[in-house]
Amino acid sequence: MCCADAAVANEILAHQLWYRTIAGIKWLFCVGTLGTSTARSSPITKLPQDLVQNVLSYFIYDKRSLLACSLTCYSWYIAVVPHLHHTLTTENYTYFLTDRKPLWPKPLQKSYQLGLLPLIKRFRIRLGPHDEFTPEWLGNKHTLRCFSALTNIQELGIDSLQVSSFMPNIRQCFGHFSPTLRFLALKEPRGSCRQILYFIGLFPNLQDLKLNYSIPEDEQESTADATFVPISVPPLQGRLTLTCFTRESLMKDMIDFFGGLRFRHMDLFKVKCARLLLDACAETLETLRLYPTDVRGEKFLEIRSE
Amino acid sequence: MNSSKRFLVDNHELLRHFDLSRSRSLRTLETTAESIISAEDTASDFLKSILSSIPPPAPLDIVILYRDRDLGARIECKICKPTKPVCFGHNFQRQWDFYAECYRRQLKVFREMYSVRDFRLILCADAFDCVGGDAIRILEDTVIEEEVRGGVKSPPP
Repeated sequence: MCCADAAVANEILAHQLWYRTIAGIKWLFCVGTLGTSTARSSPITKLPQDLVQNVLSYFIYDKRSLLACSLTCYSWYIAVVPHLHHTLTTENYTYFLTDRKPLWPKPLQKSYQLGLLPLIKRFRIRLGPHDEFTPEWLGNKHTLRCFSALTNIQELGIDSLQVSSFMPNIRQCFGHFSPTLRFLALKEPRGSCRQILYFIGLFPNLQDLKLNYSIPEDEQESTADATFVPISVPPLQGRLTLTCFTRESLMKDMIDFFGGLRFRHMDLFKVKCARLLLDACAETLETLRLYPTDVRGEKFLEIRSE
Repeated sequence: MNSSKRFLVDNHELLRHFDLSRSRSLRTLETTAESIISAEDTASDFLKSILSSIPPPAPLDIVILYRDRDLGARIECKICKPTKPVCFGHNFQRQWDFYAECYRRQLKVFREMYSVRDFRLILCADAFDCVGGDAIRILEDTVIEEEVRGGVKSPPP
């Protein structure tokens, strides 16, 4: 056990050496521009930032090149590091026995220790088919502290979020995403329509919404949930993506509480309330994605054997 | 047991769900190549019904998305590394004719759609570089071949 701890400590130390300029990053966040005496000595500081970003755009998805670039000098490191750490995905299952993906909450804790969480803009929590994301996943104080340090998230994806299990204190767990969150993707979220609507209402700048179910399910509503009223009206003027979606009441509540829908793009597959959505967004909808295999909206493939 | 199956397109039922006659700002209708192939013969009826409900004066783009697997990629391949898309050397060239025929069948669907409404056809390859190259070339060749026949219209430059 001690050996394992020592190995972890060594790994962290190595990473701390690798990311030797955490203080510099924090300083960068405070000041917003390059200009320390260290940075000034590098030729990169003489280049316009637009040009630097243009250079980076050629290998922005090539992590190895980004890593190599970050090693050239402090200034290049500062320019590259936001692109290296903009996305964090945590897993809780592995596909193969040889798959050595770190499981929840290790990636989160490790990024916290390295001071990288403020750089992360896209955060995804992937769970196994039988897992549910409940408050117990954040029960550990240290995990909750790490989770709360994600203060710059613009895109959030959570599998099997049990919204009902977080009520009524859900704001304490997710409220820190409110100022920055633009895109919310929920796979198999559970909870009443009002609870899910309340959760969506936590994010006053939300533009894009994705709700993904694998099979259509009946709604299970409770009259007690009528007390949950969204605390804000997100603009929701971007893309709506719905898959196997039968919760018509949720969309009706969204229209009622948010004063209508204003999505400009829609991606609908096996959606019960397609007509309702198309009519609600008749004035704003610019792009619609449909699928010829989805001939009747709410029903699974209507097929005839011959 | 006969495994042959067909999708049903009931125009009345379809338009009950996807009636776009009230849409005032719709400019783009998207679908996937995979969905067109899966729906087989009914893809044309489906898309024609949807098109017929869109108010005619507005210009409309039809975007067909070709993803990796539509362009010949397999997510898992024993030759390449597991979980990595297979390179063309291992898969695509052996099935060159198969994919060319797939594209021709899709173009037939688009040709029939022009009978309902004028639109601009945009074929969009959403794929990794290593997967996309040759397949896009075949797709372009098939479209040019179809243009010569007068089946599809080229978008303006």
